[in-house]
Amino acid sequence: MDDKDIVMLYWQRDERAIYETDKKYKKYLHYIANNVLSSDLESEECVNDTYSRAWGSIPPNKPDKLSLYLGKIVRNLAIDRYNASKAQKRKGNYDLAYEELSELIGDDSLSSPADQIALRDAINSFLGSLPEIKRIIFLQRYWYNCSTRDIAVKNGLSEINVKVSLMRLRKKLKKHLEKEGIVL
Amino acid sequence: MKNDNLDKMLNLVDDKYLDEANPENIQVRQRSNKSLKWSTIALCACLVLLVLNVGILIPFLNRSDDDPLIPGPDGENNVIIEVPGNESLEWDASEPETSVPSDYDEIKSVIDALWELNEVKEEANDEANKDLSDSFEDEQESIGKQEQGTIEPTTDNQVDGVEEADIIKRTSTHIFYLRGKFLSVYKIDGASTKQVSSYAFGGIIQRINERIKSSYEEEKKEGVIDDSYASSYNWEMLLVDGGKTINIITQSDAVCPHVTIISLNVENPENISLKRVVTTLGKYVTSRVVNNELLLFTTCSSSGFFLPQYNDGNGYKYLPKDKIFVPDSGVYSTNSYMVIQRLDENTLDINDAAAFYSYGERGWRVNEKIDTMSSLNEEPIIYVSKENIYITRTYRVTTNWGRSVSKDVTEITRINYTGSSFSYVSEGYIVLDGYLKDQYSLDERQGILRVVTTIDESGYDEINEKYVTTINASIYCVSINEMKTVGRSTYFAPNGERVRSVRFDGDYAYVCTAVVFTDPVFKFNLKNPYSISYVRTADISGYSTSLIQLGNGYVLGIGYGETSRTLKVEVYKQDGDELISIDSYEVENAYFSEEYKSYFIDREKGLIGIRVNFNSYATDKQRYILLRFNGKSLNEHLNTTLTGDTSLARAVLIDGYLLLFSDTQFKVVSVGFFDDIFTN
Repeated sequence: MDDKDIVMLYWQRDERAIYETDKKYKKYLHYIANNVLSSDLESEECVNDTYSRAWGSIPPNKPDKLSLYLGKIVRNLAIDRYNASKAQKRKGNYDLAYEELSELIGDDSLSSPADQIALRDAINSFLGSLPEIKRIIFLQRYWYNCSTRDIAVKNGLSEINVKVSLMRLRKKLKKHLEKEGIVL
Repeated sequence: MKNDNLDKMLNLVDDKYLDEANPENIQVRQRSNKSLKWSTIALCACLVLLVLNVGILIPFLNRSDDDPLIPGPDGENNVIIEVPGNESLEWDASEPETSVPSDYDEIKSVIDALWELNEVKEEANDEANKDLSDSFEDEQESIGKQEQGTIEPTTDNQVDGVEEADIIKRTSTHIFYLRGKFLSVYKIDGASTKQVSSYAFGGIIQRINERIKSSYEEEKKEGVIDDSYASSYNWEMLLVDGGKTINIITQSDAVCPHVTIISLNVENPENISLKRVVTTLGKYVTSRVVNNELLLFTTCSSSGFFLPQYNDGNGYKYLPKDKIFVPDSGVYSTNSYMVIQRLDENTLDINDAAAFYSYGERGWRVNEKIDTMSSLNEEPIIYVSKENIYITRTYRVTTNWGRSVSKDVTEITRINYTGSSFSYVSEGYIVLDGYLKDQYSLDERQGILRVVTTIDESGYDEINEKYVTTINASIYCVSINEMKTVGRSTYFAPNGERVRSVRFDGDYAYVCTAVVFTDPVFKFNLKNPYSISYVRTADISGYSTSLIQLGNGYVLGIGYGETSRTLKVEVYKQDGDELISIDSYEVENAYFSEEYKSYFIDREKGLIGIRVNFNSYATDKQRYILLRFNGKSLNEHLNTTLTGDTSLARAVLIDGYLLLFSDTQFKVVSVGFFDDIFTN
């Protein structure tokens, strides 16, 4: 069933919407949640919470891209949950990915709207300047929190290629942000 | 803090890039043959070079970080479009902080700086955006001369005297129905009622789109408005000027989102002529007509900071600095504006305009005070009373009082419009827990704003070591002078239930909550806003998506029965300490629209009309059902075919004839005369 039909079921308040969402996106949502939480059980709960959020928010929403809509919900829920029970967690992809980026990051809060606006422009212009494959590698690692192994398999690359690419991308991003006058 | 900064950055990534990188979309790639081929060639070349004793490291010394590890497509240059004059600001992050830095001050100073920068450009407004009316020829199917009657009510407005736009309007002699890009005109004549003319305005829309497109191409602008959520057919109209003028409001997302108002002279409804065409940038949210003024609400957003504009008929102009308001709640969730314009309903001349920063559509995390943007309320919810406009936005925040709790909150700002210009005071806002269902979740009465929200909170319970989510409902009474809560009833619903529908009726409020297909309906007594009390029904199957006050204390619920395929219409009334069901009507395998305006409601005669599809798109399964509540029971009075989109069906009752309109059909049905239900 395509996304439009699933969204229509939500709008018709048809419970099959949850069934069809689960059928189509469970694996994908679980994947995103598990990349943050490193726990099958908690990821499962997060995915169920995502369905509940989707049921409560469609309507009024009518997402064009259901996968992204659900992906954002599950990622934020997973991060919320992760932050709430951080102390009890072992390091997962989420921590490892962030550790890699830590060389770019300072302790200052990015609080002003102007900083945020500049940051948004900077990150998107950085991504826009990359070849597609580099952009995909970067986002799969740092937004979807995929392991380097997964990225390599999905993109037909060797793991070492992915790691080297990521290292270069981090350097490039650092340069780009510095050029834009942004200190994270 | 580090992770916070990273999270902030990653949440600002464009959807198109996330979609592109979505692991779900990517088939496992094979290493390309081209890559292998080049690797083989490179290997051979290296061997040759080695043999020739030439340093093989030389080519790598100049290798750029950009070199792809495998050959792949270059990053596409994204074609971005900039609204004329909508300049982005290069913010210098290394600039020394001001002596009293704050988000509010910084935003205001950016607005001031941008305005000064752009002020001089106003003189050079481009011709392309000037009043276009003279350049269009009327596209009218004319039959003859006919005088127009006076305006008759068709739309069930939320507030008396505040007219809402719809796809149907009428006078005492004619009915106007908006069918796609045509305005169809029907002459009222009992069983002989028929279409007498139509006005096609698709050509006007097309010409404007082309004009905007060419204006952009000429200027080779780069930048700004995101059109991903713009709708092409969110069109409706208002009948004004004593029935002599129709203003059709259209939304287009060609090139960039823009709203076009087509003003038609319908004094002679069978010979309609074009009065004026006005275009303004942004996305249409809603509109109202009050006291001969058309209130137009639009939103615009951008990836860069920009100044909001309006079109006064002589090209686009920046709103004056003192008309751009920055909410001082300290939360700036989106780089967008809600723009409100007051237009003369007859001439469309602009009387006043104001813009509210960050009150546009749902967008990006811009401010650290926001934890995650709520996935709710994609479009801002607006409520307009006779004196005040309430604009709202919902976001999600995290509090940490003993335990970390993430929750949805709704910020409501009041703008008074009784004077000749908008009156907004900086403290005129309130932030309440929860999110709104729709405009019916808000109501103003005697200096009190009443608000119903769904509470949505989640957090980690460290004592019991588990993650807890709370879904519930609350009602608030807010003094509009101070915008302070004076009374509230919080968490009144069974746990896990969201608000499904709300309707205020004088001193009372009716609220339906449900998890899935089991609801109670609540009746709140708000006579004393400082002390709220309520009665409720027992749990009953289904839930109402619309609650409608019928008068005499009766309230009607339209919604679902036991399943999502059951249409259920139910009438409730208070009986002592309980709200009880008087009667209900249910049909199985029925699909219907939740669009309130698609229902026909005649309170005096107790009539309710709904367009229903019976589990099939066969013509005979597409029905229009007319129900009648006689004060005691609810009965089916008519069940007839009516094809078309369920949300676009409309009905008008005149002299014993029910006139049925849809996007594909017009039909007249004799239904007889009905007594008023509450006269005896």
